[in-house]
Amino acid sequence: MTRWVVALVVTIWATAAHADEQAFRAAGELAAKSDPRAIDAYEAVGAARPITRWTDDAWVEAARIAERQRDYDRARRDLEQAIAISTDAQLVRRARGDLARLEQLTGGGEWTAVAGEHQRLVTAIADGGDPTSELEQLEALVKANPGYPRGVAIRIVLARAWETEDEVDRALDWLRDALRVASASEAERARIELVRMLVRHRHLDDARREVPLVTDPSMRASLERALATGESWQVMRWAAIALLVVLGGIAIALVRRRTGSWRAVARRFARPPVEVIYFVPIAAVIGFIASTGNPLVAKGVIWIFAGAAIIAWVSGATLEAARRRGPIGVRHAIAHAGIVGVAVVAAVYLALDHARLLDLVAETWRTGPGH
Amino acid sequence: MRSSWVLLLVAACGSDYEPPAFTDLGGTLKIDGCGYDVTTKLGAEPPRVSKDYLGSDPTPRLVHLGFMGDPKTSMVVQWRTVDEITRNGEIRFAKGADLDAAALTEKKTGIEFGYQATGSTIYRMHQAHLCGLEPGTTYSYQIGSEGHFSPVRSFTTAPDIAANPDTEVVFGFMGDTRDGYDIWEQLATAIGQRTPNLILFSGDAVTIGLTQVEWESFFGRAEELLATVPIVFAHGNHEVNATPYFSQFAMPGDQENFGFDYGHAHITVANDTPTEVSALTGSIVDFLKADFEASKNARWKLLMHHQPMWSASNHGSNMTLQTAWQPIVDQYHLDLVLNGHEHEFEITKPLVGQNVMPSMDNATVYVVAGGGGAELYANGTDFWTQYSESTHNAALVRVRRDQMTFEAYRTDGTVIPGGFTKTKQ
Repeated sequence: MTRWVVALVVTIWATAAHADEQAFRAAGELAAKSDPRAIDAYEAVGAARPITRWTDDAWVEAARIAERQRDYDRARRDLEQAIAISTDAQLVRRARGDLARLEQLTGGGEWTAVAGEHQRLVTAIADGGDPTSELEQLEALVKANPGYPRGVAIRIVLARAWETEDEVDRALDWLRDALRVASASEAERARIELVRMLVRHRHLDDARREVPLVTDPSMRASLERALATGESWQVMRWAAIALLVVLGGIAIALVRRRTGSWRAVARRFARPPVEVIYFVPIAAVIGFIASTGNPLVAKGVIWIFAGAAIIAWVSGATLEAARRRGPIGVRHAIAHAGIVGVAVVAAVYLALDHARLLDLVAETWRTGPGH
Repeated sequence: MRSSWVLLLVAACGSDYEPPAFTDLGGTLKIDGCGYDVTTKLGAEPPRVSKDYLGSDPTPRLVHLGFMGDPKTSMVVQWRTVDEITRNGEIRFAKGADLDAAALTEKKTGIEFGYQATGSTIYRMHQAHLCGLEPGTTYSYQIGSEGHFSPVRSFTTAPDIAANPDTEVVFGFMGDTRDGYDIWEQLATAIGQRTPNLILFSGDAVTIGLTQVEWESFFGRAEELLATVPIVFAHGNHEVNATPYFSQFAMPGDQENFGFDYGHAHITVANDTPTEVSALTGSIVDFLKADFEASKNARWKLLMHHQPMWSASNHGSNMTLQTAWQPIVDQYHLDLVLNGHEHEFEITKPLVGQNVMPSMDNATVYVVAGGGGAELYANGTDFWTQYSESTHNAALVRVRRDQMTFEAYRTDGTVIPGGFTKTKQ
């Protein structure tokens, strides 16, 4: 009799386990298709009795979908179910960790709605298109909820997003605000972000003031290196600008000397020289092709062509003025080409600096094009 | 001068052992009970069994886990000491989570070897190799030497899927931390909260692999995670095949190109910046073919290497790899290829050859998660792009018998779009 009862129980359990396995798999199929019924399907497996090896797994999967749907309360409930019935130590440890993380995320339920809105807005900001509206909503969210535990993280997100939108001052304001509200443990992170952004945008005096306040010696050393690099590049930037201004001034002076009047100078520079007429269409085509590829590199290419077009214009105007006084000698031509070459190098440097491509070029120089 | 210091220290620790002078030719040591050898490279000493020789401060530091054998039954604990000259090291361990030090009743002597980075300092690596462990089991351990042991920590061996077919394994995945260790710390903490079984790192932990100072930050900032979860590392171009890189990680095979089973997944790791570039289209292709063939019946197949075959970011797709490696990836129907190199997040649609496939069946998804801390690159999009974003990130790959889920996170904890669940019958 006992043997029959045991056999019956085993059969019922095996049948239930098989049914649970099939139902778990079916719920997985729904989850793979992002079907909203997946969470109910998993919870049904979790709630079915007798308990099988799939029961706790089903509650865990349901909790993950609930978290993805920003339904943090439901995620917590599902995790509690898993912990209550599971005998799998690893699963329980993981579920307890997830539960603790959700508690931290939502402040024990106090910030559930804010956390959900935070996730929604950050996703919308990153989703392409004009993010201004979502950024402003996120700004409002953080201002309206000063106690939200991830307030500093949101401010850093805002800073990075505004920087991407070329609103650097607004970005820096958010990082300074992050530093203002940060706890002691968060302040270091906010300050490092601030220094990096200050260096990126060559606000080097401000960066220099912040670096000594970074407490971690290795990070401070790293930021000092970045600051030193930024200072070198800043010097080179001013040198390039000065060089171009001087060369431009010399070109104007030469044209003035060769044409005899400022009115003639104006006429000479107002008319595009033949070099520019040839160069601009080719540059436009290459710039267009570049713009269909990597946007960062495209920005650099377009700035390089813009600088090159200006140099070609000035160079052509100067040469045309010189030709009016007779043929140009070989030495004159070589000297002119050399000076134009120097000007192009200076303009390329400024274009790369403006497009923030200097790091990439330096890395490619050091480690080769394949890297 | 150095020898007088050594004599002084020998006198202080009361040992007769006098360590041999540093030699940098590398060497091999058979590990008893594990069935494998530890081989060190040129620039490092040959590995030796630890001896009774203490330096001025043998306190263990930079503890991290790896494995060279079967992850179900083995684990390697690695550490250095503050003084860098201590030769003594052992592990105390026992089955069970979060045990007291007094309950760690089993012991095993470690091994050690010195290695050089830039400069003349000799750094000393200690390893304790545990083999014959039970699958899916949590052990508590501490390492060090008498009077100088680390805090007790725990690790869990890989599960036995034959005994527990419903078991899920979770891999943390990230890369490209170099010079952004504050962000790396944040991401490591966030991934640690999700209790992964294993960390997969796609390379470029440091700016130059020869420079030890950045390695200190890499291991130090994530010690809480790396001392409890083993890490598997794909060599990145910034590691430059340097001795410090090979000295600090315990991984299977030659530490460059290897494969292993973990749960229901088979993971293949390849070095796409080998010393000999010709290997990319030669010996590594042969390795990939052999490893994929040997694991063709694996339920889930993952490949991790550094430079992406598919990317719309700064460097773009690596066409050498796309030409030489992707046909094999397609042939063996890999599920997921994990990359870094581009400092952003990027995930492709399911691909076979140059074609976007309507479903994931027999197609491969390529992920770039190179936002581990390094200065971000701009993201791009192309016909293959499912989603891309210029953001610091770390990801989780969850593998069950019948489903694999991929999900990535930003530093503020929010979920990055583009994640997926793939199922198999």
